Amino acid sequence: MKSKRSTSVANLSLVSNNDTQVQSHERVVIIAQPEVVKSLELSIFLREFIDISYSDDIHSFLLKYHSINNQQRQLVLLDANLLIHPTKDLCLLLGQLASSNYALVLLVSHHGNDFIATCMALGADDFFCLNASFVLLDAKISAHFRRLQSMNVGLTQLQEYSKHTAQALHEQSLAKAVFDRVTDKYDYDLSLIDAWLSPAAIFNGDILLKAIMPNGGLIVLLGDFTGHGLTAAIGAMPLASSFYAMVDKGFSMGDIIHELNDKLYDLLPSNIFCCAAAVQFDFSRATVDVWNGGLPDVVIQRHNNVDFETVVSSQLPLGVVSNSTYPLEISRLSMSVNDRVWLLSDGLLEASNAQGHSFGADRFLAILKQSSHLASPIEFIKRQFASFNNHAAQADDVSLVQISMLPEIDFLALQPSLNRSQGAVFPSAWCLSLTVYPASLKYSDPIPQLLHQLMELPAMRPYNHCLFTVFTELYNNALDHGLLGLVSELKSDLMGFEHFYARRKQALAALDSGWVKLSVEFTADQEGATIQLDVEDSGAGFDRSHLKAGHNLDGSEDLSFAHKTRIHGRGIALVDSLCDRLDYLGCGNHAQAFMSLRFQ
Amino acid sequence: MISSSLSDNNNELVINVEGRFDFNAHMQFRSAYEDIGLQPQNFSVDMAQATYLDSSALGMLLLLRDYAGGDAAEIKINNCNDDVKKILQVSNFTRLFVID
Repeated sequence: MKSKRSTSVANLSLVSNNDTQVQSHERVVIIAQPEVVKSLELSIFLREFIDISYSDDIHSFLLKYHSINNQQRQLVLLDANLLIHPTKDLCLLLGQLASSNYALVLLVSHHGNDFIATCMALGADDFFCLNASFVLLDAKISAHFRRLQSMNVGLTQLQEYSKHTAQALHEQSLAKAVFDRVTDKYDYDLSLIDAWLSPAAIFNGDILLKAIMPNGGLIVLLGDFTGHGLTAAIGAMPLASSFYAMVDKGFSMGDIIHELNDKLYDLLPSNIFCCAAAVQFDFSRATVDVWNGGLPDVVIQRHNNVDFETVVSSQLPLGVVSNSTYPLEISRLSMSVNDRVWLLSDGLLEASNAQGHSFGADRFLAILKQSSHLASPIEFIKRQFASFNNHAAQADDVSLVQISMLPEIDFLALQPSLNRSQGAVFPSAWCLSLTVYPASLKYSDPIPQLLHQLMELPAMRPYNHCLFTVFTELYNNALDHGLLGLVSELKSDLMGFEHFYARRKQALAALDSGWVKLSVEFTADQEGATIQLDVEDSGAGFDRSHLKAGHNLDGSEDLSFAHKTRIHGRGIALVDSLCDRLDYLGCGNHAQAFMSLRFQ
Repeated sequence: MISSSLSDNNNELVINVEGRFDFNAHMQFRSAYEDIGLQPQNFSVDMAQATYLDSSALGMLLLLRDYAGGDAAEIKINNCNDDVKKILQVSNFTRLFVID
């Protein structure tokens, strides 16, 4: 009987409320014997918003199914009498429906409870006894559509959410690509820096910037932005680009930090800021300058492993207040070879294990102590951290950086050879003269601007460090000794070194007349360049006949402790060794240096 | 969980922070001072029930400070536990807020 019907696919008609053009999102599909359909129509046809189609056996329905719009919510009424092999037939049907938003209601008449229970276990959602009132069927249909509709809302939201997530991930990876380029502008291979930066979910808001300064020093900044992902990237980009631009121009750490604070304060909304710490290594003087604005204590681990010194956060994070209320507090510490500086964000200290214990500063310092003799202490710390949190998932916001003090010569050997860029414009000839008066002598450093002018020519860039040294030494001599009248003896021991700078600060603040004049005469062609630098000051000068090796600029013979330990008194000798010629003119208040550079 | 209450004379708004003060509290914290329909003279944040705050909470405090008049604002942060106080100290928010 059923097989006869199965051949009548051609007779199968799709019946709908085709008098209306309503594009309903709801559809009732009836798979039933004609007499059952007929009795149902009495009920369902009253619901004119429902689109109805029917089929009189399961197999023809399956053949026809692809024509049904899957976007619609479908209520499938299945005549249980058509289930010849309930398991097989239901599985086929449910397999077809699976991709759509449907409910399957069995129409039963004489069927036993076990049969109904089995069908529902297989996946039917509900059943209706054909001898019950069709009011109940209507009610069931309404209830099922209501449920399907709320499922639809959930599904749509889920789809939108997935789309947004995919979009957000895409944007983050884009931001990361840019971020990586900005932050890794100089991919130095600096073996004195060792860092543990968590891979994190694309961004964790932590940023590590490092650069070799034109004066041969090293500057490292670790920052931790509020938020993560795009929020962090938005702040990180101006941070990194300003950082590198300022380093290139030869500014000192203090100036750089002020510039970064200013940039972030201007650019970012007030709830986004950057906790940061920075350290500047001066390898020739064996000192570090440390600044901390909102990060955990910066730790200085002495090579004897007995002493730890810390530089606590003494300032607001970057980007919170304007520079007018942001006086910098920078600590200067003397360093010995193999002393280590540790910078870290709060992620490591705040990480807690399953027992609810946080890693904490005490544990960190204890582990540092154990690691002091190791060549790569960070590997050791990683292992200790893993055992602390029982090898659970790695903390996703750990940033830990270690920098070791090296002898200057070793650091110089590490510096990358800079490639000469193409596209230089030759020949070139100009003279630039700049006279600086007390108001500017107090607050600004003219050397970066002059150097920047020289570095416009890419072929000059390999000489950046060398020129910086010559310019800075001569300028500082003119200012410190010529104008401020300070004597180098003050610097004869480590304490005196600080004393000297205190006196210098005092004298500079009191300075109300005088000037320093800098002139650069520059000519260059394909082969090389010549530079004449004149530094004059309005001071009384000095008797240059004393100026020979082992003598200070002020003429005194340098037999002090300082000479042996090379704390001061090397300035002129150093400049002399870097220049082709160094002369003192007039009464000794006019230094004139010649350099000829060959381009490779 | 954030709640707020006005003093009897409407002069001071007290914002109570309960539990973790992090990004999830963002909307609640903002509406605690934006949706009261008037601008009180003084603001204070009561941290007695706060267990933890993160950097986005610090950001929210800065937004409140802006709302209350920026550099001219004097906002009290009261009843901080040691953890909370430490976070405020490390970031030197003691310079921007009156912390008790």
